[in-house]
Parts: sequence; C-alpha cells; structure tokens
Amino acid sequence: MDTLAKLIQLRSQFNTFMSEEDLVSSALNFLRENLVDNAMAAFVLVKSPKRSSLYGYSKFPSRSITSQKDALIARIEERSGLVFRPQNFSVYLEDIAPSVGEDLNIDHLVVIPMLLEDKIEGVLLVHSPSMFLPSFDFCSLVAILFQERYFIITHKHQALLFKKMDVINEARNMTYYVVDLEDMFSILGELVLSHSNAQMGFMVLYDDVTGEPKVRCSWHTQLFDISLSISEFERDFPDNLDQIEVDDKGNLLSWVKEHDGYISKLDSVKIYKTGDPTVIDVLVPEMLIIPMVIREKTIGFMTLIRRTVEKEKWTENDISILETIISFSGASIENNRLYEQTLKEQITQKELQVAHSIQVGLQAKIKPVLQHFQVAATSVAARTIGGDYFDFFPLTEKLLAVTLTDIVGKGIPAALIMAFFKGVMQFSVFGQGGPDEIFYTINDNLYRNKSVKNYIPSVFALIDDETCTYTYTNAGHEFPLLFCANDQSFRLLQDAGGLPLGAFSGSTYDKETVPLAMGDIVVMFTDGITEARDKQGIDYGLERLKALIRRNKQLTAQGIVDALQESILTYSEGVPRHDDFTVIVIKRV
Amino acid sequence: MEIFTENKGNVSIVHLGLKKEASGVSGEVELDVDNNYLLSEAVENELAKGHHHILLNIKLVNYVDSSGLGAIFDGYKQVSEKGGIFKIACPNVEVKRVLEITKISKKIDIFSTQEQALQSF
Repeated sequence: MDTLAKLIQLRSQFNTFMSEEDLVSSALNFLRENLVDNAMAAFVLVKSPKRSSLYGYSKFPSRSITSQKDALIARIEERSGLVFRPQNFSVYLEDIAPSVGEDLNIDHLVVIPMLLEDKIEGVLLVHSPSMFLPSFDFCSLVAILFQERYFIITHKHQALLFKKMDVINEARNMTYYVVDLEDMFSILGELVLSHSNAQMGFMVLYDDVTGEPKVRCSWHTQLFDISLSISEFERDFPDNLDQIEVDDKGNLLSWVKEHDGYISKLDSVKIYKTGDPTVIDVLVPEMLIIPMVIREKTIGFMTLIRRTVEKEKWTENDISILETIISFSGASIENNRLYEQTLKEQITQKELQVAHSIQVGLQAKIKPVLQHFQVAATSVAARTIGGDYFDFFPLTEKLLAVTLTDIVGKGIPAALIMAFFKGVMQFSVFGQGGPDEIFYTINDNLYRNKSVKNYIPSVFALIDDETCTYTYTNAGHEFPLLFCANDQSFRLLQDAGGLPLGAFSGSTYDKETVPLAMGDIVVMFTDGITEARDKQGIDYGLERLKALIRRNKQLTAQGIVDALQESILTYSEGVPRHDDFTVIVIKRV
Repeated sequence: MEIFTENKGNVSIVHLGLKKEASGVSGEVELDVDNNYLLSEAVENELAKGHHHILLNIKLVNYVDSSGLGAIFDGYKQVSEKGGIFKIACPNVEVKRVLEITKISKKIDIFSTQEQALQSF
C-alpha cells in the first residue's frame, strides 16, 4: 500500500475514535509501523496552562526528557515561533517493555508543533537513534490528521469559541446595561487590559467640531515592583498623552490621526522625554492602536501598551476580539451621544411649547366689532414662536386702537419681549392722546428699561367709527397700504412716524389722519408678507400684494385675510419660511 | 457670513460678506437672525482696539432682516456712546429701502460709495 493510501486509511480510522487515549494509541502504533530506522514517536499534549502530558512508545527516550527539558522547549519554541508555557510534563508510555536506555538527542529529533489559533496545543516528537531523520513531510501529515481529530475530541475549538464569546458577551453587556458612560469606560478598561495582557491603555475621541484628538479615558495597572524605576511617561500618564513624541513618527496622537482608520502594531517604541526629543525616556515593547469606527466614520481610537516584554505577541485573533470590543464601546458612545441629543431636543421642544402657549395668549383675543369697519387679522409663525405681535384695544365704543409689531428675533427671547411690550402697550394706550403721544411715551418707557436691548418697529393706529378715519403713526415698521375704492389706486401710508421704539431716547413721532370712504381698505402687514420667497428666491413683493387686494376687494376683511394667507402659503410652498407673517385688514363698509 | 475689517486713516471699515481685501472671495450675503452677532462682535472688537469711527460697507448684503437691523442700530449706539461716528456705505436698492422704512437713515448717514463716505468723516 502506498503512503497516501495508508494516510487515507489512517484518517478514517481516526474518525472512529472518541477518546484521546484511543487516538494517541492508534497514532503511535501507526508511526511505529511506518517509520524506518527504529524511529520513535511521542505526543506532547497541552493539558493546562502549566502542564502537559507526554504520550510515547516505551522505546522513546523519555527518561532524559527532564534533564534536557530546556533544550527541548527551546526547540519547540524555535520551530513554532511561539511560547510554550506548560513545561511540567507527565509522561505516559505505551508498552511495558523497558526502554533501551537511549538518550534523547535533540539533534535527532523532528519537532512538529500542532497549533490552534496561534497557540501550541500539542507537539509531535519523532526521535531517530540514527543520523537519518524520518521524513518531515510524512510526520507533518500524520500530525495534521491527528490534530484534526484531537481538537474535535477535546472540544478545543469549541472552548476557544466559547472563550471568545464570553469576552464578546461581556462587552455586549457593558454596552447594553451600563448607562453611565464613565462606568462603561472603566469596565471597558478592565476588559481590554485583561484580555490583551497590557498594563496601560487609553481612548481618544475626535472632537465633533474641530476633529482634534482628545483623550477621553485611560487605564493604568500599577506594577508594584519598586526595583523598576518609573519612567517619566508612566509617572505623568495620562496627562502627558497629547505631548508624547514617538521615534520617527512625531506626536503620537497626530500620527494616529493621520493614519486614520488603520490598526497599527508597533514594536519597541521609543518615547522621548516631554519637551526634549533627543533623550529617550522609555522603550515600550509593544503598542497596539485600534481605530473606533462608527458608520464608516472613525470617531477615535484605543491604544494599548505593554510595558514589559511578553513572549506571546498580540495575535490576529487577539486583535480581532479587541476590535469587536471596541466597536461595541463605539456603539455605546454613539448611543449615548444620540440619547443626550434627543434629551436636549425634548427639553428645547418643551420650552418652545411653553413659550408658544405664552405667545398665543398674548395675541389679540377680541374680534373687534364696529359699525362702519370690518377688521380681521392673521399671524403665521416661521418657528414655533414668532416675533410678530398684533393687538386690538377698544378704547371706547367708537374708538379702536390697533397695533402691529415686529419684535426683533425669534423664539423664547422674542416671546418674553413681546410679553413685556404688551404690558407697556396696555398701560399706555388708555391714556389720553393720539398715536404720536402714545408712541412718545412708549419709546421713553422702553428706552429707560435697559433689560430690553432690542428696538421695536411698530405701527399704531386709531380707527374712529364716528368720523370714519384712520389715524396712524409708525415707528420704523413697514408702511401700511391704503386701497382707495374710488379710483382703485394704492397709497403707502409713509408720511407719518419716527424711529423704532426703544432705540433712542426722546424720539418724536408724528401722525396722519386718513378719512376712509366706502370700500376703502387699509392693509397693515409685516415684512414676512412682502419678503415671502418662492423656490427661485424671488420675493412676493408689494405688487403681488396690491394685485391680490384688487382682485379680492369685494370680499369681507376676513375674506381678504384668508385669500392673502392662502396666496402666501402657495407662493412659498416648499421653501422654509424665514420670517413670520402677520396681516391686519381694515375695510370700510 | 464673512467679515473683513480694514483701517483707512482713523476710520475702520467693516466689510460684510468679504473675506479679505482684494481676495476676490466674496458672495452675496444676508444679514439676519443667524449671523447678526458677527457684526456686533466686529464693532465691539474695533471699539476695544480704540477705533471709534466705523464705516459699515454693506455692498454685498442683499437682505437684512429685523434682527440684522437691530445689530446695525446696536453698532451705531455703541459707537455713539464712545463718541465715535458710525456710517453706512453702498447699500443696494432693496436694503436702502429697508433702512429708510425703519428710519435708520434718519440717524445714520448712508452713502452710495465708500469714497464719499470716507471723505465725510
């Protein structure tokens, strides 16, 4: 039977075994039959981190294992490039026939390590008493077939998988159940340091706005070995992290930022003394940098540092687990950020609702009823709270005061000023005097009150139901528009007025009285009407306003208000409104 | 909105919407609720440096809302309190209309060119 056929047969034979002993016994038997020149085999199988068992054929020179242990281990480590820790051997020998007494000759030994994920789980040793070593390839093939079944029987694969899952589960729990970010960082530190066998670590997050790297948290396991003189790097850790200069890379944090998104494994890293790039402060044996990526964007990175030389370097497997842990914590950081943002938005929304209800309460409540006039109004805010304010004050049965005011700014500050302004207005309008005198008083009142920094453009009018006149003054507000039914003409009422309220001390205002004939219409409006924009960015403008009034002149005051509101909303459909709009229509009937 | 400030004689010219003198980097801007604080800051900076005469060049401004007007008023008042003079140069037709409606033009001198404005100080 040729070798290949023998190996195939061996494999199917292996597959029937359910115990380690049967497997080893069968493998040893096969090797004894197939190795030439009295070569003898033995399996070293790792049982625990410190202990291993040697299963051999009795002729294997096991007696001298103890005396040559160091040389044997050195050979195993040299062949595998890995560390062999379980250096206490239990020796089990098949056959009771006594050993022929040969000594182990390391030079006559074929060493084939059996690895699982970068860890030595077993070694096949083949010793030849002669100078002719058995075929390495043949032995390797047997070792491969052996380990294939061996790992299945001993559940080593499974155990490794479970271990990985344990770590990942811990990381998952950390992100699911730990609400506080600081707690999360501390648990994360324990997890990554213990898993990676590192003593120091830190996490850097990039600033949302500037993108600058900022150390977010750090971990440091103190070594209680007083014989070790502590480096400046370690002494000042983590306060010095943004100043760390590393050989041929310059500032560490900046260097990592430039290599955005890559895992870096650095060996023998020279760290210079802070502020002196000529003196080496400490030589760090290993440094591992893993980026933290959320939705394809690198939000920061984690760095792990080993201060002491470890025989077992970080493996691909270690790094992939660390990567998983870090992505969990990244998700946690992101969730936390979103949570806080939502919370903030909810609070702001709540405040806006409160302010909105205040503001709605401030607008005119009454519907003025006059014999010769129809009066109607509407106000549409650009944001939840607008800055437009209109109000009606029935001074007497025959005299109605009307004001339209554009408070500078939007939102809560505007609502507060509006409340204050309404108070001042209410206090002033019922005094004696025309619009000019009323505005003089209000201006003085506002100017003296330094808490109101804003200036307030406002238009104020008295509608006299007896004389059928409209008397107005204007403090820097849009001019009211008059439509004369008689000749279908328009006139901007811009002849009377003064400076905005509250802007300058001692401002004076003049007034004008306009008689209104049947069908005449006065439109008081804020700039939100004429400056409403369409998708091309073109203003609604005064001409469109005039055309609309001309078209709808037959309607009631309320009808005109509704038509105008609909026209503005249609005109600016799909365009975010950047100003409130308010209109008051007064029609002589 | 970009703001660029230069000094000519004893007058600080505050350009709204301009990045740098003769940089060619500019665009039409709006002085509104989102950026009016930039104007207030620029005026405060000039006053802090002891520059009390300010010319506001609004050549590139194509829209001013009520809060933008507030910032202009504010600038004018701050400068006046320090005994300085505040003037405006180069408003476009639409902005000039707004300055007139709000009667700003009654308090603040407005010039159609920067040269005329500088000569008037």
